[in-house]
Amino acid sequence: MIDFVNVSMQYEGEEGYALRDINLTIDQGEFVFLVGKSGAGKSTFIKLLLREMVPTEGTITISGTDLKEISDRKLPYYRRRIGVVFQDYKLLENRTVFDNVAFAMEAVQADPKNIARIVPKILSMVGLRDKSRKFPETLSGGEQQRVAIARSIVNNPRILICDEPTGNLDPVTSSGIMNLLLDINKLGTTVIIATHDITMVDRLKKRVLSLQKGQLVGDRVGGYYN
Amino acid sequence: MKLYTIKVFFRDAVNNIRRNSVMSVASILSVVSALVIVGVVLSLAININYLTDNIEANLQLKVYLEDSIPSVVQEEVYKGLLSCEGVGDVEYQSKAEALQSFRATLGEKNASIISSYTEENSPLPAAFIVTFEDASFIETAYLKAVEMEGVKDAVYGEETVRRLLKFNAFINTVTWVMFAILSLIAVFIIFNTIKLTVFSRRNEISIMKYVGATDWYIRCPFLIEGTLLGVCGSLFSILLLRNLYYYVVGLIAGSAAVLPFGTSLAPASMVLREISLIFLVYGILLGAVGSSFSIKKFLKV
Ligand SMILES: Nc1ncnc2c1ncn2[C@@H]1O[C@H](COP(=O)(O)OP(=O)(O)OP(=O)(O)O)[C@@H](O)[C@H]1O
Ligand SMILES: [Mg+2]
Repeated sequence: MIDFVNVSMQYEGEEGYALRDINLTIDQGEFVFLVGKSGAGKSTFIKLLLREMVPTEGTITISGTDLKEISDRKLPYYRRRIGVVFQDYKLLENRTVFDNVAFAMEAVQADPKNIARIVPKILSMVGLRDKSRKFPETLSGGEQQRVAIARSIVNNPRILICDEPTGNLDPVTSSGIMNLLLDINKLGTTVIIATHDITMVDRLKKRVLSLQKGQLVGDRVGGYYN
Repeated sequence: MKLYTIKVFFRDAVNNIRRNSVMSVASILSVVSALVIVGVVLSLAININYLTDNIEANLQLKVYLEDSIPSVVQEEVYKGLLSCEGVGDVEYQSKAEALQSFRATLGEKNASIISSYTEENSPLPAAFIVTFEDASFIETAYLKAVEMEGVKDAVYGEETVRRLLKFNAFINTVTWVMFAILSLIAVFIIFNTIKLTVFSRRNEISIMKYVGATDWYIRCPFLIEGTLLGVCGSLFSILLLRNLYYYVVGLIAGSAAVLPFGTSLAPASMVLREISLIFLVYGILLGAVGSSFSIKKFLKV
């Protein structure tokens, strides 16, 4: 469903390529790790998927739609099919946990009745049912990341993209987050995770895409060090 | 668009205003200052129009005759007036006609004030009404007329009208320039206010973009915010001007005979109705323009 064909990305004014000649396919419902050293091109890969920018060469298609062809007017509707989670959570400090999640539904003009029904369900799913009236700064890092994940899936996206979702968390909390992402994947959502967390990747035995200096140097199922 | 969405927009806009209170107050004050200036001028203009309408009859020279003069003398006056330079027409108005026309100006309601007067005891004199082909001769004709035998008095309003119009034109240029400058300042301050809100809400905006909010959905609250600031400004200006106008009306009523020909200021309700509408529209315009510029510049969606 996600297809990269000869995709290269060169940032404006840069000499080298952030991504170089990437070819790959990710099917609906897959769980994929994207690994590589700092500067390897993981975030660039994600920004291309989010259509924050278009590749300088090649084509990315999702369910047959060429991302280059999406007009500015249609872009929001494309984004609604994709959930995204960042390392720094990007939560709104002046809103409660509930309102942070509801915010994402409000932004796409969901019915308030549905907001009242779905948000508690999602908060239960991420294990934050009893924290819904709290403000983000009173939560632990793991809990904040759960709020961010809840917000990213509340509009029921087909694809969930996470950029370093466990980067700031201790191993125990990280594996809790990872289990949550696995649960979400079991419900049919494609999950793509960019990470440095080698232990996690090795443990889970999922598909691993390895980037090195912008090039795809590995694509296999199993641990990073296989 | 859903009612709920509109509610969200207004909630956000009002929250933005509250959170950004200093700049919001500055925005409102800037709108008020532009509008109050233009309001004072507009009410002056409305009054000048009102007065000139009232004085229009006085663009003629009205020559009042002494009571019961012999018809020969009356004929002399008539000929004398006709022979004046620039005169187009001379029309006789008898005492009865004068009374009748006064009755008409008073209207049915107030006619009772003069109901005891008849043609015989009416204090209103008979008169010749002189119209001019060229209004610039009115003054010479006036000077001649008052010297004539059998003439009690003569009046004309041309001079007052001319002065009013001249005054009006002068005020107009000065204030429109001032108004334009103040409007620009108001737009600029609103522009900056919205810029600050956009900046303080950049996290919300970026999340909205990620979850797929449409451009107009993201922009709307900011547009509403600017418009609300404009509306607040215009409402304050209307209130301010209303009090000011009543104050001036009271002042003038207290000191009689400031205005010529027994005319009064335009009624407050009429002035305020006209001005309120203009203010509201203009306030909305200032707010919308200021925020649109800001959104265009700082809200890249
Ligand atoms: N906006 C940009 N403008 C120019 N060059 C950029 C930009 N963003 C990233 N790069 C460059 O592109 C390359 C890939 O960066 P990218 O952010 O994709 O790496 P990454 O794998 O996400 O690294 P990290 O693990 O540190 O997040 C790097 O060499 C980086 O310097
Ligand atoms: Mg990165």
